[in-house]
Amino acid sequence: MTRLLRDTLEDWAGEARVPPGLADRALRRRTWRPYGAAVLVAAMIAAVAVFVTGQREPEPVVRPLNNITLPPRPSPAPTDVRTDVEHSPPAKLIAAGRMAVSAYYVTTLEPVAGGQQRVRRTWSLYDPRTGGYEQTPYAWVDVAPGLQVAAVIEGDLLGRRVGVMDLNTRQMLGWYELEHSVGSVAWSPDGTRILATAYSGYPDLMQGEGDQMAPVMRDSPRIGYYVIDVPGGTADYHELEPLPGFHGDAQITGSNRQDLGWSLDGTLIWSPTTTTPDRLFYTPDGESRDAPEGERYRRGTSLPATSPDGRLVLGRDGMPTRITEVGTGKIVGRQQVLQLHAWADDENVIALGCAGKCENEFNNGLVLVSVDGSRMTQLAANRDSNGGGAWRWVLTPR
Amino acid sequence: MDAADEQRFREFVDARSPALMRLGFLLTGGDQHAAEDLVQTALAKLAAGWRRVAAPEAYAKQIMYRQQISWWRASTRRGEVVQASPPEREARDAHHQSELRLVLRSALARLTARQRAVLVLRYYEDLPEQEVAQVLGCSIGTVRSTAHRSLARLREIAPELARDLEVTT
Repeated sequence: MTRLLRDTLEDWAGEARVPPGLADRALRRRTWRPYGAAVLVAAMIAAVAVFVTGQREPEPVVRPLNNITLPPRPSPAPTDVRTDVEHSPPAKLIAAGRMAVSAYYVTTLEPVAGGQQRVRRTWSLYDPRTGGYEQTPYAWVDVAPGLQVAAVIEGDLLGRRVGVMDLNTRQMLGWYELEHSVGSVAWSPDGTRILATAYSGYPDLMQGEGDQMAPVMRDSPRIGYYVIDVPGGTADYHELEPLPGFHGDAQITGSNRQDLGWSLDGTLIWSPTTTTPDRLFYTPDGESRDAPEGERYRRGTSLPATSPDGRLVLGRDGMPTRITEVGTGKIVGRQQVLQLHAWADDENVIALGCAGKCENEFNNGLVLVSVDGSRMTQLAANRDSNGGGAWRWVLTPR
Repeated sequence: MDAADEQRFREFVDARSPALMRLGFLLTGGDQHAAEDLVQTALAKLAAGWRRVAAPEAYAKQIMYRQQISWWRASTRRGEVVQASPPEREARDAHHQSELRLVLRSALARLTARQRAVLVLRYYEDLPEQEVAQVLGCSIGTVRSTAHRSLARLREIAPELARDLEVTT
């Protein structure tokens, strides 16, 4: 019976014409002004109508956002080498093997009360539409493995809204409203959960000038964390005491920012320290756990130090760097780079290289170096990493 | 709204304005100018809240539904919308499909905005009753009774449609 109705509606709708300049007009107006009517009278009538009918403008956030369907990861993932040695920060995607620079940030210092300065990050996100990067207004971003979606924090330095953005369309797939402010987000290795670290105040405060500049020594304002299950549509909060920032006998962090990360297999979370071991593990519910056996990490990150085939492991920072065999500890290669960051494949590593003969270690940039150190490809332009305004990359599996 | 937001907003409008215009056209009973006003209003509100809106198209449509009902109640133009080619029922063979569609259009244009909105949501957007209720901010019972009354009203306006619009859901 409704066939006629459906067909008629479909058919009739086809007669609508799309006028030009709709976006321009909307951007100019942004509030309602009816055409061809006295604005005041119309507004009064509209107000009465709202009163009479109870019709109100819908809330801007369309809810519920119980479960976000995440786009699938590309399979097989690309592994080509992509470089941009002309622009700093990069204008084109930087990638090699299984890893890519999915985002980067630039820091600036802002004076605040008490002679202190605040570190502000300006984040840029990989944009598949242009093959480059796009600056964002978000307080923090993290791209999920596969480079299809990003988690973002909306807010000034800290925020209570975490969103999931489709990188390809730049549309928000959904938002999570949180009770506590969060200062960082991190995707689980399988790209389905977001770990958001909560703070009662902004942690990145500095004091002193020039070479003497150092973090303000106080107790870290970290208060806990959320585990957001994106397809499941849940956000569970857990309290977690901060680790001692600067004073203590046990692990100290040397930082008020104590962002949590995921273990390699995504079953545990970790809190960073500057001592050895460089992290403490917890269950996602916040219970202390021993470090998972056999897992080796690139210091300060959630990236594996062990090669994809499990045979080799990245050595410490400092030129020349070393790569050793997991089982025997035997050195299999030395590289003329400052730091080894991530495995591109079983034979090549994304590393921090040094300009020229490394007269100045702060004049450095990303390179791809082979395990034996014989081959090196410049991935990004060298830049002065010491000054303010240097860009800092985030590496993510493609 | 910064430059990047504006760019995304423009892309959204480019991609989705045909769909929004089609919807606006139906909601206003085939009035091109009123449909433009309606879409324009929704887009202006969407632009104002762009960064807070999770699902832009759903949000724009929701504004259109509610706005149209408010405007209709507030305005005095409750009469039949003049069609580009007004159907002259008596001169036509009502059994012919395309004729029937013209008759139905004319009848749809004479419904109240709320009645038309419910039919558009149910039979053009294909939304289940529960979602129609959510979008319009009313109960499922109201959606059912409005849909029932709307179809009955169509039969009343155009008795030749009675056979095609017999069953109500």
